[in-house]
Amino acid sequence: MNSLERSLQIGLVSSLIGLMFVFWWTATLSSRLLTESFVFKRLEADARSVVSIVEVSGAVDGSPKLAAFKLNPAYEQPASGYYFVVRFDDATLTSRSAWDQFFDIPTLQAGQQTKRVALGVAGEPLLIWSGGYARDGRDFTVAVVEDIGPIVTRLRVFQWFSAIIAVLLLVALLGVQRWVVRGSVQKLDAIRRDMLKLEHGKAVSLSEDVPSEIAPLVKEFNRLLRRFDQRLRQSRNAVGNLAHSLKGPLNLLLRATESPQIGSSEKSTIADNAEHIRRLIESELKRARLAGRGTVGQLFNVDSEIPALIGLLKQVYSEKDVDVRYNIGPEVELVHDRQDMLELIGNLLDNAVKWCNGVVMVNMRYASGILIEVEDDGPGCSPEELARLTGRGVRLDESVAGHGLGLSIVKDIVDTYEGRLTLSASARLGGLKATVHLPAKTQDAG
Amino acid sequence: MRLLVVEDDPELVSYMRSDLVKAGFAVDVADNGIDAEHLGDTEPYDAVVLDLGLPQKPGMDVLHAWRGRGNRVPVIVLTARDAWYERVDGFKAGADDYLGKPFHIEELIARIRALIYRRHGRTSHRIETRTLKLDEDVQQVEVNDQTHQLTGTEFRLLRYMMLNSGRILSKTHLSEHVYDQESERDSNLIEVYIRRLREKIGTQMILTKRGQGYIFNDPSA
Repeated sequence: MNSLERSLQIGLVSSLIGLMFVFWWTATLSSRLLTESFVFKRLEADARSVVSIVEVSGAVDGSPKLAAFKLNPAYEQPASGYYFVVRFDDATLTSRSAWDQFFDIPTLQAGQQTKRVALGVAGEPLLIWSGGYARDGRDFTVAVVEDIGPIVTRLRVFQWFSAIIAVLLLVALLGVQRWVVRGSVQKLDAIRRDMLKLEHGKAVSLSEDVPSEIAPLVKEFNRLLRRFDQRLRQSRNAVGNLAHSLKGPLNLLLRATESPQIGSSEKSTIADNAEHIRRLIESELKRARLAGRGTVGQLFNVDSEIPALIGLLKQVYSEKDVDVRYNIGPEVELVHDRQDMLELIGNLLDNAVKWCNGVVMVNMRYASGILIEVEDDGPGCSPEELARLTGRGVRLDESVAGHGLGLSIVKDIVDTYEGRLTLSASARLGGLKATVHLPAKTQDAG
Repeated sequence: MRLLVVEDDPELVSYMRSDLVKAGFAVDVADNGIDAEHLGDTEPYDAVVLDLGLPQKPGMDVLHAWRGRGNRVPVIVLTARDAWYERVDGFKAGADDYLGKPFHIEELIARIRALIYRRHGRTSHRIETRTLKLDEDVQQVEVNDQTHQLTGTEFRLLRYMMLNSGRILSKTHLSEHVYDQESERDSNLIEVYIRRLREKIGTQMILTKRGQGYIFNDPSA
């Protein structure tokens, strides 16, 4: 899925996790290194003290030994964790604390130093500092050892602590970041809501109060909407004017056929052709006037237009006493283009009122689009007729007398809206039932 | 019956006028919206034929203006577009009937008559009393099985009086509904025609109210 929010979240989360890990690891490593170098410094100092008490000559048997000067008492205490070893070629002196522990000590030249980390007999971590010395012609190596187990334990506590801090920080930052991303994306959501309103006819343009990054897009969209609306109005006006200017002469032509100077065969030729032209103009101009889906012109206000249409029909068919009942479901308020819908419902109702015996029912409701049902208690149509009426590609204007042009334009409108027109027998009233379904304007791809 | 025809096509208007006059209407014509609005407000028309596509002021605006001032004159709207939205707009503006162009003049005449009868509360399309029968198509009156041909003015006068039977109609009122704007309107002429009508249908049908006017009344009804 191509979602800005998701990719932002993924990028930010992974970089934050990486950052926090590096932070924790640096803290851990540097504390360890610092501790070690500190301990080694002390061990080096202790080594110098040890060297100062090594007595090489003067001994009776000539073997080296340690003077009786006091060192750090820890070196005297067995298994204290502080040890030293002085190694000669032929002899080894160890601190009393070392007992019989064996330390792997390298033999170093005078002036050489090594620092090593090793494990003791019990697996305890040891730091071993060793240095080579020479006195009175004899070389020896001094190694000072410290068990850093307690320090490591304390370091581990610190590491845990920093890890917890890092995780808490991570969680907090993720929260903040999520909030920031949400906030930014919400501004885009406003556009989505606007689009929905546009679709339902509750708005005529998108709000231009949007992030500057997409403002050009929204402005362009609005400009196109306005332009489209303008175009539609212009072309409808042009079509209307054309109709007006064509029908005047046509009327005169019709009138001329009533003149007594014209022979009856010419009369009928002129009259038939004039009528043919009239029908052509009528159907083509009606088609040309259709706005189609997704328009933003004046919308069809169901609650006010349906009663007006019914009132109009009662007036036109005033010699007939017709009971027109209508029922408008919830969520059906403003739908599609006003002129298109009036043409559609007007023609359906006109047919129904024309053919009914006294009752017409209109039902409009929402069913993933708009569903319009118009039924009457008139004579209805035979099954063969119904099949013929709804057949694909049937030009209704040629096929049915009476139902003629009206149903034809209804079909055109339904096609323009990619909807469906069904004609059937009315179960409730016994006459014809016309059902029109116009699907919702946009089918969500997601 | 006096009509106002509002249409800007001069040729169409001349045909319409002659046909409507032949059918027994007094006809005034306006070829633009401004004049139409003024005439409709000042003259007592029995019906108006209103084209929507008019110069200076659209027909729909004219109708709106009339209804806004409480002028309830019956209006038949002529539309070239013949679109439902236009009819609905017309209905909302207060139109009484609609006719799409092009139309046959017989259709228009039938609609005008129906509209006028409806306005006078009549459901029947015949104008008759128990003893009197008016044939609109041939402009004859039948009294007790005796047929009399009527002149245009006599026909218009009798039809108007029959449609308004029981009401006192002044001479001025009658001349306003029987003659168009351009005719010489001498109310004494009404007296002449009343006398001629009485000669044909009998004196008891039309009563004179001195100083007020005339009443049509069929005493046998």
